[in-house]
Amino acid sequence: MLSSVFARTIGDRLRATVLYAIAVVAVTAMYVSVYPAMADEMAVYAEAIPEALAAFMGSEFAEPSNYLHGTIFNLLGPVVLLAAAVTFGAATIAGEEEGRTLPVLFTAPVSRLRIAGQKLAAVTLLITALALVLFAIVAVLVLAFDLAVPLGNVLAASVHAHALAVFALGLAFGVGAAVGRRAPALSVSLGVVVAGYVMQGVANLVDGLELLSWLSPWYWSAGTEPVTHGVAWGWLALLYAVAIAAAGVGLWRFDRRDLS
Amino acid sequence: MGIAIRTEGLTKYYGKARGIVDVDLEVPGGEVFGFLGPNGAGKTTTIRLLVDHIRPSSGRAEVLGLDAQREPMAIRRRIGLLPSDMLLYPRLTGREFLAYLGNLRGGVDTAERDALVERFGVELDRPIRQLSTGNRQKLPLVAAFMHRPELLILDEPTVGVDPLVQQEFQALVREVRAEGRTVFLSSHTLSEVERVADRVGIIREGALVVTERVEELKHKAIRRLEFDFPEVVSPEPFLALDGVRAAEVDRDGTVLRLAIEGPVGGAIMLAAQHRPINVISEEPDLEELFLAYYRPAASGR
Repeated sequence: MLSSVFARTIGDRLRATVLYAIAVVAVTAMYVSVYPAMADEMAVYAEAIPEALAAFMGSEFAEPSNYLHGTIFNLLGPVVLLAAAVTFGAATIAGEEEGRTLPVLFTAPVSRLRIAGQKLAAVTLLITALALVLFAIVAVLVLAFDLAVPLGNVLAASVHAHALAVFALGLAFGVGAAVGRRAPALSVSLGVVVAGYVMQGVANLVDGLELLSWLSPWYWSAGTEPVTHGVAWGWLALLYAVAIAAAGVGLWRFDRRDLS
Repeated sequence: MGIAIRTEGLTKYYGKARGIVDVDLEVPGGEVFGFLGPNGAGKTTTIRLLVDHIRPSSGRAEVLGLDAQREPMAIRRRIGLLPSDMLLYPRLTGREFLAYLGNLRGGVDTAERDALVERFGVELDRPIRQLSTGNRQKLPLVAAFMHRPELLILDEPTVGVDPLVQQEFQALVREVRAEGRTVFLSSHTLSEVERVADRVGIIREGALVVTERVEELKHKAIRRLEFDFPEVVSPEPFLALDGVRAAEVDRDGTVLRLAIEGPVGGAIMLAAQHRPINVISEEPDLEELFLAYYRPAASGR
């Protein structure tokens, strides 16, 4: 595990990644496994829940794909993936710079861009692995409980969740690489994600504000309900594009600025 | 052999805070150059500019004939660097740490590395976080030397290591020089630099005050000696000696404190006649050394 910066970074984050993977599995299994027992009752409740709450959770709550959307793909799956993405992104350059373990890497003839690039590739791979775990556990549960949701749509929704996590990773990594401090990296990436979530909720509640939700990365990720309707390529591309742009600016600054 | 390190008008400001101002340095190949200054004087800033960890506000630096800012990779391939103020990955063992850095260099001669590990008594099998400060510091020391670089840039390499390791380090530096390699060694203690350096540059408040051969410096340093006598002594005969700048007695006149510029032999011979019980020698104070360069009558220049 010590042959390159890439392998070393994977090694450093492996334990945390396994814990996040366990969280993904536990949370997903918990919510999906209670669905069959609740489905009939929920059909009744779905009629009765207040409109405001329905706006947050999505309508037609009792359909299995809607249930997966409301509980997993528009909330808990992304939340766990985002937690990993934001912490890994901020730890990657900024955390190591603050922790003063970065200077020792710069004694070796490895360029800044190679070091930062390999670290970014490593954490991106780990986030991708977590998204795969999300897909796998939902797919297994869908098959086990014989839910009427095509696996292709589960994959589509998992890719969308991955895109949202990569979006946050790009922001956290980019800000961290640009300024070398963890606090701004965490607050910018978390701030955007949380503000986006609130904005989407508000936009769904208030008539005439639907357009506002288009500004939310949560909408880009799950607003089109990919678990019901499949991949929305435009929104997906937008999430990845913002991630690449943010990470790119971070790398560009990191290559030019003073190391602390 | 050419010039190992050359800086021209090298200047670095951190915002408005002073880093270094207008530093002109020239270190010929094959020399051990001591870079001496108190903490905060700009030693680390200078070194970080040489290895492109930070970029100059103005001026330029060349290392091994290569521009520091344009060819940092070529420079890092050929130098051994020991940065100050860094932490090692706490969970790695020493063996893993050295293997990692060796791999990042594309592999190093393990015979050289193992010899250094043996020589410094490096603890290889415990996680770095369990090592004492002194044992920890041996690892970057080995890492700096293990690929047999032609130039070593060492920022306060012996901070926190025990005296035996310091001696071993000094012996290593002498061997490296004997092989024609170059060492740029920063330190805040004159005694360490005195023992190994050919020339010394003194930096103070961001400016290079003087560059001088070590022998000259030894003559200018103010050394403080304290003698404990069994009887009352008079300071006057000591004051009359060449180079004695101050002499005072204390505690009923049995303790004598001297400040001497240059060799201390005369004062010691005179003191010996009073059969001293003890003598204490203090590390020369750098501030006083700087003052020596502003003291026209005493400098002899």
